Amino acid sequence: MIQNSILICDEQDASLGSYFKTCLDYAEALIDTKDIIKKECISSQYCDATFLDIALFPKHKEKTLFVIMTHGTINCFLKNASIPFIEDTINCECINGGLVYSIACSTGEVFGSKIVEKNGSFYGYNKPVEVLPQYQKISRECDMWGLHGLVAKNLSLEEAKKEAQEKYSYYIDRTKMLDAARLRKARDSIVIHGNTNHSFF
Amino acid sequence: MSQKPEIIVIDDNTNIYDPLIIELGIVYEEKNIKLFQDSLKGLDYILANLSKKMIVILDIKFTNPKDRGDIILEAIRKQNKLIPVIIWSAEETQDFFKSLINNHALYFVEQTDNTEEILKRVEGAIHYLNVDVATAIETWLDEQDNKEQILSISNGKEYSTNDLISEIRKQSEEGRKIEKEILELTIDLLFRKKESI
Repeated sequence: MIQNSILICDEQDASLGSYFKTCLDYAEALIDTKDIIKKECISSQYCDATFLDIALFPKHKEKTLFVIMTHGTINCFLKNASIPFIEDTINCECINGGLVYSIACSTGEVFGSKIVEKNGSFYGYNKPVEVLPQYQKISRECDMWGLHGLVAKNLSLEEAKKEAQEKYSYYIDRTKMLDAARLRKARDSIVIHGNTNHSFF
Repeated sequence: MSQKPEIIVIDDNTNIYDPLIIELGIVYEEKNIKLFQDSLKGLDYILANLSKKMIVILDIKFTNPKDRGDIILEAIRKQNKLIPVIIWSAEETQDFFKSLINNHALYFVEQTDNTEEILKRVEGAIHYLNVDVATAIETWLDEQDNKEQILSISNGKEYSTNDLISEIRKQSEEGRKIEKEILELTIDLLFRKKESI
């Protein structure tokens, strides 16, 4: 059972900082419903590879839930959409048996599959996805619904992915064409890696 | 399509009494037929009315070589890759055809073709307008009330409705991305048996 979490949020990102912050608030509230999960929040200032690798990650010894609310590419997480601060993998024993939950673009394509080599698991997207400018609440709910399933309902990754996709389909059928197209793309980009059939909490 | 498109004829050897113009007026209504003997004026009209549904019938040879139809086609395509253009000409050089193909001329009709043949091509161009996904998206965007509203944030860039209309017309990377996403949405809705959203 995971009893530790690190929440990383680039709230100062120029285009989506405030959106990432709302996702952080959601994630924090969710984790707070489980008293036994310890929580450490990392803000933009500390989205730095050296800080994380040398000062932060070594402090955490037990298996950990990472919730990462930043931009990303296929192999890394980005601060301000440009500076990699977690690249290739997470160099920390706490990833062993742990889980990375990502709302970043594309990280599911390479990063997510590589984390399995460290006995970690992953939930995220394997393509670029977009926040709906007019309906950010819908985007947030869809982005975070997988985490809701994992933490609040103790679902496996497989089950959480299915529920998240159903949530997306619900809104696809109720939004305007362009927004529906974006949601459809995000829904079909959700990927999971690692321990997909057992719950974590 | 609920209304007929405009047919823009650009040819310095055609006048309003030409059988083609008369026939087009009967089939598509006179008010929708615009004839320009000056190719630059025809181009100006097209660029000033990009939001209208239109088909262009374009001659290639004009008195001033700088106003040649293939140059006019290229100028149209810089702003809009969606307007169907029917080339009406007798020119046959390889370079000429290369330019037409690369600038997506829809049909080529010879000056010696009869009116019936040309009308068939116009009908084909209208069908193309009716089924083309990019044109459908362009129409939908054009119907939105607030053209300055941000509809998309992609790669850190914000796109208003007007921006997206321009991207669709230019068939830019962003425009083609939207088209692909809409097609994928349509397939998803069909598979999930959703008739409307």
